[in-house]
Amino acid sequence: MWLPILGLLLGVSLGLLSDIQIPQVYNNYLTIAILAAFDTLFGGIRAYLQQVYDDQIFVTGFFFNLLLAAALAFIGVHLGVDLYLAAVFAFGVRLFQNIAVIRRILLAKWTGRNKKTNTNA
Amino acid sequence: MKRKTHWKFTLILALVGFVLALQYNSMNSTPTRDTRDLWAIRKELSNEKKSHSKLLEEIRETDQTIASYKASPDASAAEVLQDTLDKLYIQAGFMPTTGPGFVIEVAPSPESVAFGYELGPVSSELLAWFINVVNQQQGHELEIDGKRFTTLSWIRDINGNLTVSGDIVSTPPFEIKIVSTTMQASEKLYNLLQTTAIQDEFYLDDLTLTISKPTDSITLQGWTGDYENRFLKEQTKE
Repeated sequence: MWLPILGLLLGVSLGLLSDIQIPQVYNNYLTIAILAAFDTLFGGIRAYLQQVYDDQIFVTGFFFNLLLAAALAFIGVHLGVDLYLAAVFAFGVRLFQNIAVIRRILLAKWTGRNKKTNTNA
Repeated sequence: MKRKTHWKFTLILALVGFVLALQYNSMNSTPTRDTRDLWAIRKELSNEKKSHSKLLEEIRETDQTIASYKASPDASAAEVLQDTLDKLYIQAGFMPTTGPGFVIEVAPSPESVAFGYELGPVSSELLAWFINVVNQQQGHELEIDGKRFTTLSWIRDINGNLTVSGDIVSTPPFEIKIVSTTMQASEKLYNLLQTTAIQDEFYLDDLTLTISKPTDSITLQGWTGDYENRFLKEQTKE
């Protein structure tokens, strides 16, 4: 449980300390990469909670989504169509859905545990 | 198996964290440095002070008007209102104005006359440029070839004719009159016009500007056209 959070903190501190700045032109790509990463991450947590988690699906999904989103943004820039908005929309919707499912599973678990303690008492 | 999953999660989360931090860095990039020197800052400060004093003056004037509204009995309220209306008419350029100013004569250059060049009307761009030069210093009233130039006036080329608010400006020679608030302001504008490149620009179009010395009394005609009232509405009595 704590190891992933530690990883997140490590990544954040590394990024902040490195003081690397992405040029304004590539900002869209970065934004979409973050969204794709979040989407895969929450998808992974959801799958884990639903006990259908597959390691390979998670890792390939992470990188594939990232690349696909970046490619979409790239093509969009060159065609003059804001295609990255499509990716933002898709990832945004999925993000909310995943979070909603996670919330429900956690809520069900919590209420189930409460009931158990009540019946025991 | 579970341990392996944790490691992958950790690695990917570290990657996400790194990208997040990069985005944060890019968004909060260092603000642009203020590279103005002391004199540039002093100049801006002086501009701000000027606008401050101008605002104060406006407030004082408005206060005076309100005070006169309050002080006057109902009978003379109409008079005060009329005064305000007259003031607004003057400000808008509807009334003839007399004040210190000078006259500029736009005429064909001697060369063009000698060579017998055919002279067209002044180009609208040139006249607009001239007005921009005059407006560098605020508070001047203009009249171009007998047509009062107000804040609502426009300069346009209509079918090859130069027009000011729709009235055709005659082919040179014609006169431009400029009235200022004070003699000092008039002299300042006179000096500005002597030194800017506007005379050369007119000369390129085979025209010369003859600027007369500022005098105490120059009269401008009032704007005779209509005005469009877009924003003000009559207040109904309650």
